[in-house]
Amino acid sequence: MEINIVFQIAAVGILVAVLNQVLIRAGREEQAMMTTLAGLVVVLFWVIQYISTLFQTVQTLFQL
Amino acid sequence: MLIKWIGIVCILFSSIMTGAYLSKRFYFRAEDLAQMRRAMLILKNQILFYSMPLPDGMREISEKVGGAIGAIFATAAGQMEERQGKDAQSIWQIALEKEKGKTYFTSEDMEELHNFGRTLGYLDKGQQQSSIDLLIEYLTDKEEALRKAGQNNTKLYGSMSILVAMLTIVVLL
Amino acid sequence: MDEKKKILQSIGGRLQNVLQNMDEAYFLHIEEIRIRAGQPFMIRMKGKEYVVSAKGELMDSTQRGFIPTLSDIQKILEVLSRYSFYAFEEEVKEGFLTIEGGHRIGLAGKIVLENGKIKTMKNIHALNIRLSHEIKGCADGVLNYIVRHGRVHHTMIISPPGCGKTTLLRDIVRQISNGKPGVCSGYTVGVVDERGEIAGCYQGIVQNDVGMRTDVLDCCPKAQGMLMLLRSMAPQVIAVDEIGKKEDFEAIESILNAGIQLICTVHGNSLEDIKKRPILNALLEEGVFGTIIVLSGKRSIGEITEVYDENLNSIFTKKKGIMC
Repeated sequence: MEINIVFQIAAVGILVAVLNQVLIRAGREEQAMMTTLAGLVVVLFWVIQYISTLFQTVQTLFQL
Repeated sequence: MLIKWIGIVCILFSSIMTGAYLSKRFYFRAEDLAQMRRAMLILKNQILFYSMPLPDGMREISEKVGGAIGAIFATAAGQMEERQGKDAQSIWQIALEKEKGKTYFTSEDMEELHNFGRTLGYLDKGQQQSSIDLLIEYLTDKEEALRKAGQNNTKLYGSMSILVAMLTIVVLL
Repeated sequence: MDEKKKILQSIGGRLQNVLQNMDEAYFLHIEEIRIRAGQPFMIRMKGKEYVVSAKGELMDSTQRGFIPTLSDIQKILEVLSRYSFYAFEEEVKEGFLTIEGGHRIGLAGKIVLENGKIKTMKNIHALNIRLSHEIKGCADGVLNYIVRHGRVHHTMIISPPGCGKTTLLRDIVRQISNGKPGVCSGYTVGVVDERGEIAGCYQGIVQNDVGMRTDVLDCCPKAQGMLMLLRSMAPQVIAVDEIGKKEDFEAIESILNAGIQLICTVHGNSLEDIKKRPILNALLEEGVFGTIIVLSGKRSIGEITEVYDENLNSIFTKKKGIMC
């Protein structure tokens, strides 16, 4: 696992948070919601394989 | 590595440009609406005080106003002077459709302008005036709303464009 | 041909297609185009009325020709008025419009009243397009009677309606204004054109040739117009069409006092008709009018039957006739 992905997720998190604030200030709550969701989906997309590896590791560890 | 940097610069540049265009578009539309309102005020004057014939009036407006709006009036005046026997409504429609690409009008604005065209040509002074007034009212309202929203929008699109560019870069990295 | 193109240009919609098919030679002679909603489309030519078929053929009035609808009439009005019906508001109140070229369009429709006065006309369902044909030189025959001893005399033209008195008056004005070698030098002429018929003004530009020394007051009430001209334009001759109202005569009196020569027309069939009208008769008795021209509509349009001098002696009777 690279350390890079952690930084990337962090960057996305910060940017989405700022975008969210900007949009809410401009009175566009709906778009703010959408960007948050989009950020979440992107991050999930990256993280999903690590999660699956985690589950598999857990599976093999306890020999389920 | 170099290609990565070039890509980053490309994304930043295009995103900022898109932001600038989007924020300007509001401004341009407001500007077009203002021009159209000016043209309509001139037309109203011409009709009420000088009883000027429509082709001459439109020609004069096209010279006074200029730009894309002037082009609409110039096309309409040209069509009327050609005297093919078309009615004023269809001439106005042709002119609007032809110069549509040059303007920043939305479909809502176009609808309103077409409606105005339907009253052109056969009404008496009072009715013609009220139909122009109706259009002017719409134009004024829209323009005012746009100008109000405009300042907010400019800031929003400015910061948005940079943020979105950075987001894209991070996601793609 | 030019004439056809001009007429076609000012008529829009389906009627344009009908006229498009018509023979070019006809257009020189069309006097009236009558368009009534739901009735056959008719054309008056050389004193006869024809029905026009959808293909542009002329037929006699027993047949049904092309039938215009109300929306056709609206379209025609739109194009005729150059998309500016509003510009003719005042004229519509009088029941007619004058368009480019000095042609007159008579209108019939529903009158809208406001405070007992005509406000406007709506649902216009009948049009009568009267094509004005200038006949230059039709006053040649009478000019010698109007200008005698080197000066213009007060002149009255008596004529039944539609017999060419306006055409004659227009040509008299043109000739007096331009002057004619050997007959008279040019005079400054003022024309009060209450119904826009003499000069056929369109947007302030005189459409008919009324001469180089002619000032036209367009669409001005005659009595006021005559006094206005008298005060402002210093005319030597004033021409008016169709006098008859009481206030007209008061204005005429001021004109006579100012030493300006008057040329006017009145409705009537003969000198006897005019004598029955007290005010006109008084003017005749005083011997104001040095030349009185009587037109007749009986034989042909614009034919001069009699010319009288100030003592009401006939100085010309139709023998061979002066044709216009």
